[in-house]
Amino acid sequence: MIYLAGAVYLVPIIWVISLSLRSKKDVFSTIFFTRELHLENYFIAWKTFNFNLLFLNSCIITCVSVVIVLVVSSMAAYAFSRLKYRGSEFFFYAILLGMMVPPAAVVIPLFLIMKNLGLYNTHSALILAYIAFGLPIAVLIFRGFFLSVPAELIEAARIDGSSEVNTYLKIIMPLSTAAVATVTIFSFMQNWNEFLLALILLKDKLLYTVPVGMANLVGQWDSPWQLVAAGVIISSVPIFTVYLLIQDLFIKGLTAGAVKG
Amino acid sequence: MVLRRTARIGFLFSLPAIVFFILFLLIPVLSTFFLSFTEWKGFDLANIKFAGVSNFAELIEDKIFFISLKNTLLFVAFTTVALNILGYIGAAIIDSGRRGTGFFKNALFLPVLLAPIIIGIMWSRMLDAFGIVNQLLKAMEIIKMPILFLGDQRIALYTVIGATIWQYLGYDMLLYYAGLQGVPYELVEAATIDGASKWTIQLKVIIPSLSPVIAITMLLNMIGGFKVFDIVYVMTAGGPNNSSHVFATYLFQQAFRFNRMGYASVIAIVIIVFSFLAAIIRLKLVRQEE
Repeated sequence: MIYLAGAVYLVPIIWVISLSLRSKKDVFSTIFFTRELHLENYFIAWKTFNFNLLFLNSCIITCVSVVIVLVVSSMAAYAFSRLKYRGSEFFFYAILLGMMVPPAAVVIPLFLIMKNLGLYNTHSALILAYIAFGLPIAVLIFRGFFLSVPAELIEAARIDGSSEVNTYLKIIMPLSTAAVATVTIFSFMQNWNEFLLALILLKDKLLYTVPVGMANLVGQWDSPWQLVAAGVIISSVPIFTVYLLIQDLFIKGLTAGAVKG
Repeated sequence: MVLRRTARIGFLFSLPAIVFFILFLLIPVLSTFFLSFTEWKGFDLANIKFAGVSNFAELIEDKIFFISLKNTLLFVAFTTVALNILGYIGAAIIDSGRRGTGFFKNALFLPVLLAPIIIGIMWSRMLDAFGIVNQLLKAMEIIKMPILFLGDQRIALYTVIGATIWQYLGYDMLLYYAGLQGVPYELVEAATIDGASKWTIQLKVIIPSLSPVIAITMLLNMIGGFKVFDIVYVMTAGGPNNSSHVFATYLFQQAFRFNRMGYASVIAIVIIVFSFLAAIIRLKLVRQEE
């Protein structure tokens, strides 16, 4: 029974796989099972959508923004938890409020700012925006984690004459691999799948990310269904693979946003 | 002395984050308020003109804006209610520990991993006049003419709502599942000994002790609903005949299709107001937890 319920839930995905293997002729005549398997659809779709480029662009943008978010947010969280100063609480809550700003609410000024900075239609524009939107939750996760590191550890390092930078790099960060994993997965998913900002900040087809490239081609002309279906599968494979490899970490990372408030 | 030194270092540590926050979040939010009083043609800021409150006046008269308001509220209400109820049921199923729960969990979680844009592309094809749903309905002779799930003004929005629920059900299920692990076992046991029925235990023992999880899950669903864009954009683009617009798609249309950035900024303010209300509730919940 439970197996059956799970399988029924996946019918849309199974249907798309079946669609992706059909010949042009069979697309509308077959309901579920195809007689022949047309694996070549995948090669054609890979070329039509130009997945080489889309994956490369998405990788660059996602990886660069995730790395910078990790560095900037962990530093800020360390300050907000262990190097407090007058006003640090204020900044912390201000940044937290930033979490609540949906991209849709600020796309217009962001678009204008990027145009005026000469960054419109560059990967940098998207990376900067992703960092800004990724920081709040990352700061929150790191801060919560740092607060659980025993204060004596940091005190002892200070007494031994370790500089603050050294303590952060050599003591705090090596202890925080769990938080690093959580933040990495959370921001990776966020940026890999992001659509609205990419749609607005990129104009050149050669710069498109996977979601924008897919939406563009699918909407542009009546693309053959079997190719669209193959494209859907191709674009989903990377994230599935990563998920299957590190399931538990993934679930923890994605639900962190909820648990941490 | 030592304290002042760490304070200075602390400030420097947090400076990059603060700069990002100011440049790409604070300034955009503030300039949205400024832009909402202006009007200009094209993207050149040199042509900007002060327009007083005319944008706001127009908004009150704008039928499509009110459609988008109604649709956004419907979207939030339907997805939040359905996701929470179904998510709870799903969590109860995997918590039962029967055979197949591992597969069930992964099956429901799989769509969560996908980009909403991909879900939209899939479902548009599935529900198309030539898609599998209409094929099956025809084969079973339930219908003669295909149902236009996305082409019919009366149902397009609900079709998108359905696809959204399918995508995020697994997410809510996992949140509830995590919550169920925290329900004290002694309580359930005590109630069983007292002769309470299964249903009474669910209603009177388990659900009340899940209230923090319910609060945060509902809040997250609502926040997600208010900012929905991708899936509506790719499935209906607000159509047919503007019947399925939500805040974000209408804003996008005004700003980037009709080049009316000043007017679109007013819609942005409406989104900000809703988000801010949610923010206050969320901060309260975070503080409660700490």
